[in-house]
Amino acid sequence: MKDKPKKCIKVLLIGHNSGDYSFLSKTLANSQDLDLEYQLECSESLNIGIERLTKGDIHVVLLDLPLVNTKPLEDFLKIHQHFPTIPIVIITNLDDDALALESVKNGAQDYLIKSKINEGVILRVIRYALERKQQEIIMRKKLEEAIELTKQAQQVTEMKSKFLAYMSHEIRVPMNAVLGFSQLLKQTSLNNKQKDYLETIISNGNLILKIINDILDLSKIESGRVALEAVHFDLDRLIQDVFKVVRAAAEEKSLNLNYYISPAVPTFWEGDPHRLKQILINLLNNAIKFTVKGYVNLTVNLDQSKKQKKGEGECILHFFVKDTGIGIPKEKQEMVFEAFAQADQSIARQYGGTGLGLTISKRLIEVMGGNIWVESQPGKGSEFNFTVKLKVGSPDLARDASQEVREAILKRMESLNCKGVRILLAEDSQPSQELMQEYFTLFGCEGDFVGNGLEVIEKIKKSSYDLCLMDVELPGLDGLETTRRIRKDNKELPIIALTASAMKEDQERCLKAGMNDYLTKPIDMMQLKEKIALYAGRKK
Amino acid sequence: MGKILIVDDSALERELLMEILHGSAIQNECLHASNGDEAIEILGRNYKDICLILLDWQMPEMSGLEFMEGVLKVPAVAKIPIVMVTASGTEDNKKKVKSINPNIAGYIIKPYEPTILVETIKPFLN
Repeated sequence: MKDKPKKCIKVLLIGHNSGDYSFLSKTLANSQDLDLEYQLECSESLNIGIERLTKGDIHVVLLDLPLVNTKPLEDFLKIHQHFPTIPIVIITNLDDDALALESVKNGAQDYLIKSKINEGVILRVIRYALERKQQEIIMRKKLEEAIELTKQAQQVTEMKSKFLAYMSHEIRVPMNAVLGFSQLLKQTSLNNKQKDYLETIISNGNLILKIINDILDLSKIESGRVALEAVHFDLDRLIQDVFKVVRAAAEEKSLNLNYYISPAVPTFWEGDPHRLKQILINLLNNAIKFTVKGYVNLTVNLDQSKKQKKGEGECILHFFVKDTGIGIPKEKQEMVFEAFAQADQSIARQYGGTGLGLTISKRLIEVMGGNIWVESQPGKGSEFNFTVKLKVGSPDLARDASQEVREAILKRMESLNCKGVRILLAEDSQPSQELMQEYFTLFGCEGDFVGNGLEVIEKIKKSSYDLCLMDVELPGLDGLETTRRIRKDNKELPIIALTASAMKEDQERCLKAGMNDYLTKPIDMMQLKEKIALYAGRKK
Repeated sequence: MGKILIVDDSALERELLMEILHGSAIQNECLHASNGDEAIEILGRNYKDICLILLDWQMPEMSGLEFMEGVLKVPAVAKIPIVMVTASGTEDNKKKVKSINPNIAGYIIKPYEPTILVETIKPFLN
């Protein structure tokens, strides 16, 4: 049987004690180690030792302290810092616990006192030193790899966000033209066939927009960038508002649409009413969509059953939407919450939708500390359940009386006129400009058009306008910066932002920059007319 | 000539105001509201003609502050000057009003000198 070749470990003793050298030499030669054999070299001084180490191929250093320096730790540090990957064992007469501790803390593998060691100890210590060093090196490499991977992942997320924001904007601008001119087309005389075709174009255009919005929303939620509001709201009113939105669709199909809030449920809550509305509208719209006849009911209860960890004043609200619709087969029930998957391709095409509503709802519910699940029988109907954790709110903080006053006043005002209003439009997209020109002509407004921020500022100095419509994404000086500059000495001119972003933070930024209001592209003709009338109000 | 909208829940107060205005030869037509809802109703229908609002703070159900806050959110009526007439003259209350409406046209404390009232509102009557 052939002996396996032993690995040769080169040991360098740095020290000037010949007794040490012969002792170590004998010890290493007598090693009974099966896979290692040792070779001992010696350097008499620190500098010679460092020179030898520079030549490479030394595996471990035995360091005799003190050498030259009165501070032995400095000798050790000098070598360790020069050669951080070589394990160093200190062998010394200095029976100094503090020094021993310091050295090990600073990276020495061990600290042996000459009088207290024997052959066995030396060999063991050298072996351990080698292994430990090896581990250290592997660990450091793993850490560096992990950090590198995290950095890359962050870059990918960053790029994804930028990509989505870019795509969203680039799609919105031409959609503005498509939907805008379609609306204008609607105002012309058309035969019934043409009207039908036009409706199809418009509804599909709106669907495209909804898909973009949903994708952006989902991406935001998944990258953790969605912040839930904490405002006080009235749950009864919220549900009434939700029903106002979905009622028409239910009535069209002659479905019974009702809600029941258990009397045990408090009226006022603290949370994010907009997101809660989003979830409820999604579930109700789905139920209505997939139900041909019968009913869609919403029920709200307090969840007492589960003993979950709750904060002060927190409760678990349980909502469920029950319908008598086509139902979902068991094997597809999990899938409905997955992104980009509707239970069946043919269903997606037949019933429409973006396929993202439930995924977004699920994520939102999870962020709110709850769960969503479905119970369903094909042919009988479905029941979508979800829970959320909310704090009980205060009635005083929930009332926004001024908003009610505002709406009441608006309701009573006669339909406003925007005839003769002088508008300055800042918009760099040619088709968008043309569209606006058409609208202005229809409304009876006078419009001046510029394509960038500097021109806006110029024009305002020269002429007087009743209103400025400003595209947020202008080339060079963007809409926000232009507004800030205008606002320095002009606080009266109403400025309305035209923005491709439907995201709340972007809208808030417009208001912060000094804009009075915003319209989201693609611009709805009636909304535009209302805002022009509202802001180009009475002149003193 | 523009119309004046008087918002006060006390019929006596409103009568008093009318006396003062007539006594100072102010001929603008006055519209009366005894609470926030009535004020909203009248404002919504007549905003184009109203040149001034005399607003009482202490009203049941909807306070003058809430009414004013709402009005400020509707650009077409937000430009109408508002003079607040109130029994409370503390600095805190004045600050509160100013914070909601920095452009408030006037702040008159009851009981007031009729001449002060007239001087305050005269610039806004055209």
